[in-house]
Amino acid sequence: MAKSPSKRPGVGRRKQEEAKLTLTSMMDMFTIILVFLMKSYSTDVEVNVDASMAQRLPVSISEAKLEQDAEAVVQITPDAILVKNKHVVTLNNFKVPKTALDPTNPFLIVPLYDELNNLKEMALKLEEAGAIVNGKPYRFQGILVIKGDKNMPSSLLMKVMYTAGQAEFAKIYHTAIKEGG
Amino acid sequence: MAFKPTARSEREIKSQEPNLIPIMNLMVILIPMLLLNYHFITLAMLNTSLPASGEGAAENQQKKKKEEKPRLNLTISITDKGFIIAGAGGVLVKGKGPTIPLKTTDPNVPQWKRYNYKALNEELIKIKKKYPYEQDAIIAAEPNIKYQTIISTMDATRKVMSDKPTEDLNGDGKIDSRDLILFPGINLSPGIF
Repeated sequence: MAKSPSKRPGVGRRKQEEAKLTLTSMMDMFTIILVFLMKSYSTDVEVNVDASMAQRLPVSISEAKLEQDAEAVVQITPDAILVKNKHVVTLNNFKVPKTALDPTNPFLIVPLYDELNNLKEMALKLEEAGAIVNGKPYRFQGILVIKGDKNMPSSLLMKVMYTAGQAEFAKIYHTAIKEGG
Repeated sequence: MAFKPTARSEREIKSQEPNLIPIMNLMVILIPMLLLNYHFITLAMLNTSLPASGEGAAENQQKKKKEEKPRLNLTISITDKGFIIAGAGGVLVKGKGPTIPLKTTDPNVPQWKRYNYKALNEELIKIKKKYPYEQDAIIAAEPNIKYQTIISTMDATRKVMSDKPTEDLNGDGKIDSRDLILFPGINLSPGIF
C-alpha cells in the first residue's frame, strides 16, 4: 500500500523562510582588525621602500624620523644608482664605470650630479614661483634620502654623498630597518 | 462593558537584528585603506652632514659653532683592524694597533659583526663626560668598509646603548633621558690613510 501523504500539520507545507546572513562574527573580526590597523596608523613622513630593497637595507637602532618630505631619493643597489626610481648610473658590483666619473675629480659621479642638479633647479623654480606645500610656502631644503644596500662599500657612499653635496643637497638621511621593529 | 483581556502576553517576542550593512560598507572601505597604509617594516632614518670635502650649508653651520667653543674634533676611524678614536689633541691609544680592536677576525663572520660597538660606546661615554658640550663627531671609513658597519658605528656614536641613563653626561646636574645622547651631529668623511 502506498503511503498516504502525511496528515500531520506543518509537514510538507513547510514555510520557505528568508535565509539570513549572520554578520555578527564577521563584524567582531572586522572590529578587531580595524582597531589594530588604526593603532598602527601614523601620519609621519615616510619613505617608500619596496620589498626587494627592504631586504638589502642596513639595520639600525636609530629613532630619528624624517622631518619633511625628501627632495630627492637615491637608491643604490649592486647594479645601479636610481634617483626617484629613475635609472641614472649602471654599476658593476658597486663599481662606478670610469665613463661616469668626472675625469678631473674621481669623486664626482657625473650622471648622478646632472640628475640631482635638475631636481634642485626644479625645486628652486617652484620656490621662486611661490608654490605652497602643506600650507606653507615651499623652500628648497636640500634633503636627500639614501636607500643603500648594506654591502655597499664606503668608497661608493662617499662618492654619492660628495656628488649630492656638489648639487647642494646638504641634509643627507640614511634609510635603515629599525631593529626589532 | 468589560474590556477585552490584554493581548500583550500573547505577543510573540521577535529578536530584532540590527541592520549591519552600512557598517559593513564602512569596514570594507576602511580596512583596505588602512592596510595600504600599514608599515610592515619600521624604517629608521639617520641624518648626517656632508663629507668634509663637500661645500654646502652644513659646513657654514659648523663654522659658526667653531667660533663659540674650542672643538674636540672627535674622529672615529673605521679600519679593517678596528676603531681608532682621535681628537684635536691626538689619538687615543691602547696598546698596539687600533683603539678598539676587532672582536673577531674570522672571515666567515660578516664584516659588520666583527667590530666591537659596545666597547666603542663605552669609550665614547667616557669622552662625553669630559666634553659634555660636544655634539659632533666625524666618522671616517676605509674604502672597503661596508655600509652596515658605518650605520652600526653611527648608532654607537649617537646614543648610549643602554635603555636607562645612568650618568649625567650633558653636565646639567640631572640624570634624565637627555643623558642618553652622545654625539648626534655626525659628519661622514672619506678615510685618508
